[in-house]
Amino acid sequence: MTDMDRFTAWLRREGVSYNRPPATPAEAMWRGVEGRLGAIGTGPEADVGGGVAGDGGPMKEALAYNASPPVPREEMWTRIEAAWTLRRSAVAAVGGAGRTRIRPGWLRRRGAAGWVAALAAAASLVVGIALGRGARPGPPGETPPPSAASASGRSTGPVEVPMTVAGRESEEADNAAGPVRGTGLVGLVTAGDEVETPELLASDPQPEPPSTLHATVAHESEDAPALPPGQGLPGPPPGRALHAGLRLEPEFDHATARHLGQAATLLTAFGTDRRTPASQADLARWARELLVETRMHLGLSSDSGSPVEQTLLEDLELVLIQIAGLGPGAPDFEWELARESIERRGTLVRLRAASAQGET
Amino acid sequence: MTESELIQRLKAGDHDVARSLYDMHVDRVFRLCYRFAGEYDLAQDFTQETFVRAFGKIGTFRGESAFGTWVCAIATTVSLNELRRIKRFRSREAPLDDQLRGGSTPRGIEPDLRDDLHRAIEGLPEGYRTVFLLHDLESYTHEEIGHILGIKAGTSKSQLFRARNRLREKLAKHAGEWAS
Repeated sequence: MTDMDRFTAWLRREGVSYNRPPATPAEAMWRGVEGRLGAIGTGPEADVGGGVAGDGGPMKEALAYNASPPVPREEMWTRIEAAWTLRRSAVAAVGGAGRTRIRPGWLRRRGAAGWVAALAAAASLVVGIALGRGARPGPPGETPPPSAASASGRSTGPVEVPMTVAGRESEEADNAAGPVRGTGLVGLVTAGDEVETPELLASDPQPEPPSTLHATVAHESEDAPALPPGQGLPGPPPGRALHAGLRLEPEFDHATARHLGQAATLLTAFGTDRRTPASQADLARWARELLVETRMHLGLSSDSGSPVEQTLLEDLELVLIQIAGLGPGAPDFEWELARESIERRGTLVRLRAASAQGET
Repeated sequence: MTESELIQRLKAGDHDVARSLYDMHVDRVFRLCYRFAGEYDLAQDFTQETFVRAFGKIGTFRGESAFGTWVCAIATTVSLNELRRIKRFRSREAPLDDQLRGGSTPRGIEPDLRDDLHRAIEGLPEGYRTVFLLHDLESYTHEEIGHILGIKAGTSKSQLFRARNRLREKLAKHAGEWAS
């Protein structure tokens, strides 16, 4: 391996930090696009393709940002929640054309049976939280915040449950959930309110065996070992235990867990690849597709503030960048570097653990 | 509904499907614009401008390349053109506040080295920098870059090679970082 080869590998790894994009403000931008689209075909701006649209272009609009208006905090938060929910759905929808997407069963079955299951799960969650908190004290630094349920011993008042904004697809859930924050954070939900089942199941501190609801996700990571809490996971720094079995809130929601399961499948395939030109091209293309989704999840994760998810997604991004750059005829050292990167960071093991955790 | 069906409906005047196409590609476009601009507000402006232009001249899209590639080509053109204008404007202004620069703090790299690396990328000639950003940071293939920039794949490769060489020269004092 020459010095230039080493430099190239280093550059691709470290250069990612250059102008690293944040989460896409899709909703905010859409309003601008939509407003200007309204003129297409009906007004003088119809011919936007011929040059700079509008009378000043982005530069003029950028300058307008210098005059700072009052910060519309509430409005922005509403948008963020809405955009977040929408983009979670988009993760499942983007790329659907041309390849089969596996959706969790709970996304497909939203009939009356789903709501019955939701209510049953909500009831079991309340019991589970009470039992779990009473029977399983958390380790130092991992103790979840005290909940109203555990404090009062009753399940009729506000019950603190973990849930993700992303999992809530319906307006009813939005309205019922009250103040809820992102993945890994704790919001307030009144017991008996209609909420999505999977998050509640996923957040149970004593995971049940995978049910048929999760079978479609589980098949992608059947070889994923369910590691015991805090064991066998290389890499994570103190305070970032990946398999925080004693925590109430799930680290990974279904969409993320499914994505991580797909990434684990890719890394497994990469590790056993015979490096034929066709397989090399397939792997690179596959990695590029997953890279796009990983970056979407990364943007969402940076909003949610879950350090475990953020760290794993960042590591995954680096690995995918390496694999995406390996096409047919890629030199041996680049393959070795990618493999070393996966092993050094324990990426595959952590992905499997995370995807398995998301199924529970 | 597939992407090509959405495009056909948009061409036929059904503007309601624009949102679906936007959702499919906005992340990729925003990422690209942000890589070029490094500023949140500008990246938003460039992204909006990109989609307004794309939807406005959807009639000229003949499907010779993927719609995503076509949109990214527009995003690249919009970003580079506007950044040139902004650069001229700001040449009379004070340097950018560092806090305006986006991006999370990366792990595993010394701040001095990171700053030098970012400065070196910033200092690349536009053509080199564009290919470097597209290929090494956003993982576009040379064929895609060729479509986006209207150049041959071989030209993209040679630009990338020169960009890397230039960066290596600029970062020579940190050679121990990648040699180890």
